[in-house]
Amino acid sequence: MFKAQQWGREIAMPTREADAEWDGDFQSGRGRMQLPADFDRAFDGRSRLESGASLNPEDLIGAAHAGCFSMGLADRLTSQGYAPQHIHTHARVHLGQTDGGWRIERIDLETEAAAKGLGARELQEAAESTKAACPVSKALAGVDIALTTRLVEPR
Amino acid sequence: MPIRTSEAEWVNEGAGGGCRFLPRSAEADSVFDFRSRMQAGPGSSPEELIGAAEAGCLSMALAARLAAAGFRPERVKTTARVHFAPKGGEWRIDRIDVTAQAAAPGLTEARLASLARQAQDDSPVTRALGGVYIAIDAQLIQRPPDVQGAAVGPGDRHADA
Repeated sequence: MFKAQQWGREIAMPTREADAEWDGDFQSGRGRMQLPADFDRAFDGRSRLESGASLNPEDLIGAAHAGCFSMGLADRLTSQGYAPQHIHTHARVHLGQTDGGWRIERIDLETEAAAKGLGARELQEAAESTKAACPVSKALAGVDIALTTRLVEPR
Repeated sequence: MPIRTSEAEWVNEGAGGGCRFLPRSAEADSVFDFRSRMQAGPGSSPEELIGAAEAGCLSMALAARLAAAGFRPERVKTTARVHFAPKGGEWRIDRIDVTAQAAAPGLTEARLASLARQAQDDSPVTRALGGVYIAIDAQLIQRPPDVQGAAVGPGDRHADA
């Protein structure tokens, strides 16, 4: 959780986290979006501003973005001739308060990818293009998206 | 063209109320693939979670707007239909149709419609989805029987009810 200044007072800004994975190539592969909290537990104003056991709308945004990005990266790597084995993306959704109320200000995507013959630079370039092109990124036009990539040894 | 429907509901449960995603709007492990996402096959999709997030966020924002306007909301149920289609060679989330249903004593259709539009402006998820056209339709509903207590007389209530 990162800190911010508000009216000269340091407040904790809520961050919600989610994960998604994609196994295999684009056409025949399969993805899984993991929701980080209890689906059946009701959420409220407090649960959205805390990390906790309730599933909040921001968790779903993070999981959807991580899922869309992982599938999109598999598509891009497949079309570039790499055979992606496994992609794992972690999303951190930052909620912040502005004059006009609460906003989703930024989403950090951290992605790990394993594909035979893939280098760190190729992965970074493919991930940057995917970040711009993925339908959920495009839908989230009001949000800054930060990206980090990590190459993982294929099995 | 796949259209994903997700729902969330806010219910006044005493201490300020709480909101829940309705089953099938999202699952603990949401598995998806090309067919489930692009061909509306069995399984989930990122768009289903986007719809659930929009429905949940709007339900909560509308309940807050109703309370701030002096109404006592009993129930707000929101359905989001997310349209996912290929446009010019790429897949896009091009539209979300939101239907918000609300029950509150003294509430009129016109007032609900106006408060629902304001709730759209408050909702962090709606604001984040700046790249999508979102249409909102608001409907007044009656209090549900379990909240109304129509089937249960005062003498029949359980001690813990």
